[in-house]
Amino acid sequence: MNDVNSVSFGPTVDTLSNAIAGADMQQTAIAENIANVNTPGYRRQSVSFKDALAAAEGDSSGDDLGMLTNSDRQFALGSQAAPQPFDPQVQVDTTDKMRVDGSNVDVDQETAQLAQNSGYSQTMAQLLQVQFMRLREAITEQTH
Amino acid sequence: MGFYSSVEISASGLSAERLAMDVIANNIANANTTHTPGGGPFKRQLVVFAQKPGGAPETAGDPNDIEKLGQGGVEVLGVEQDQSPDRLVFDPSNPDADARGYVHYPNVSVVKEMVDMMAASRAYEANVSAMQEARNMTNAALNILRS
Amino acid sequence: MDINSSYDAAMRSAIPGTFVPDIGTGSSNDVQTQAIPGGAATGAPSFKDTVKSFLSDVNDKVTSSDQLTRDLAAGRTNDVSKVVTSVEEANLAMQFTMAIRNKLLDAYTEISRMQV
Repeated sequence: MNDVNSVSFGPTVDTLSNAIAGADMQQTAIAENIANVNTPGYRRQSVSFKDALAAAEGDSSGDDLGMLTNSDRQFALGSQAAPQPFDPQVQVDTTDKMRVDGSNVDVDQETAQLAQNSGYSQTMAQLLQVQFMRLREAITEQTH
Repeated sequence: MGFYSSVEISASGLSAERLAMDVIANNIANANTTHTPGGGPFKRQLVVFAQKPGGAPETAGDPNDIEKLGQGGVEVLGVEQDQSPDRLVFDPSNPDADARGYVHYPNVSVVKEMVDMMAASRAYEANVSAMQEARNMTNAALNILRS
Repeated sequence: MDINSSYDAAMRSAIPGTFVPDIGTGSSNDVQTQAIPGGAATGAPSFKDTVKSFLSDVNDKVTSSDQLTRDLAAGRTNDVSKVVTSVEEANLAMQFTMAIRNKLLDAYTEISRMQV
């Protein structure tokens, strides 16, 4: 989502804004599944953005990129693999459910995913708001 | 991508399901119509849905798959007539009886039409929910600016 | 973090002596601290150590709330209430520290204006 050369307000802000973008993509996939619930031969789609989020954060299992610290007042960052750009993929679900007209969309499951995805996105927006509020407090040196 | 394409996709679903409901209502209304302008009894009609072209990724790992997702949705290819045979009722006294004494009634099964109507109605409601959630998500993101 | 007892300890160690704004390099054998009667020599935690433990507490809270937020985003946890609680704790700790910092700055400014 962010160019590696641009200013970043921190890994949490990046992760949260990528999460909201990913939830938008998933919402579009769900909308298409619901629109095509009665379309013969249609196969439902989904976007695996949570895995792409974890990949974009970088793994903490690599061991050469740990930061050297020479004072215990420095914050030691955990060793991380090089973070990859946020790149979610569309997945097509090819399993066949037993429907006479041949679409494999279960409208109840899609509606449940719709609610879950929407709740997730709104939670991420709230948490992002908190991040910005903290930055604003630190910048203006005032509490609310 | 984002809010607007999701709303357009849901809108396509709404109009497709509404057309299906109209067709089903027409079938039910004409379930016993033995005369049509073209001669012969009413024939059951059905709607043909198809996914909008460009809405599915071509191959796994297609680099444009997210853009294609935004162009998805459903479209109605057309309204076709169900060519299954008419419902025959033996009634020689009826003025519409054919040579063998059978009256041709439409090939509409009201029970099946009711089931189809429920499916179309549920799909319509689900599309409405999808549109509402898209709007809620956008509002929540906009709220970040407000504080 | 027991905010009340830390704050009490801070006030108790500041009042008997003069005010020490400089946190120092981490050694409790700072010349400045020893020169203050009624300060760290009495065995109570020095003001400098109290402030340091405050800040590292707040930093820990903020770091752990950020980590929990990222876990929720990536799907590694589904416990929204835990995330929300830790975020709110971190916010309150930050705001409390800010309030104390502002009060201390005001007190220092006022004292430094006193004509002796």
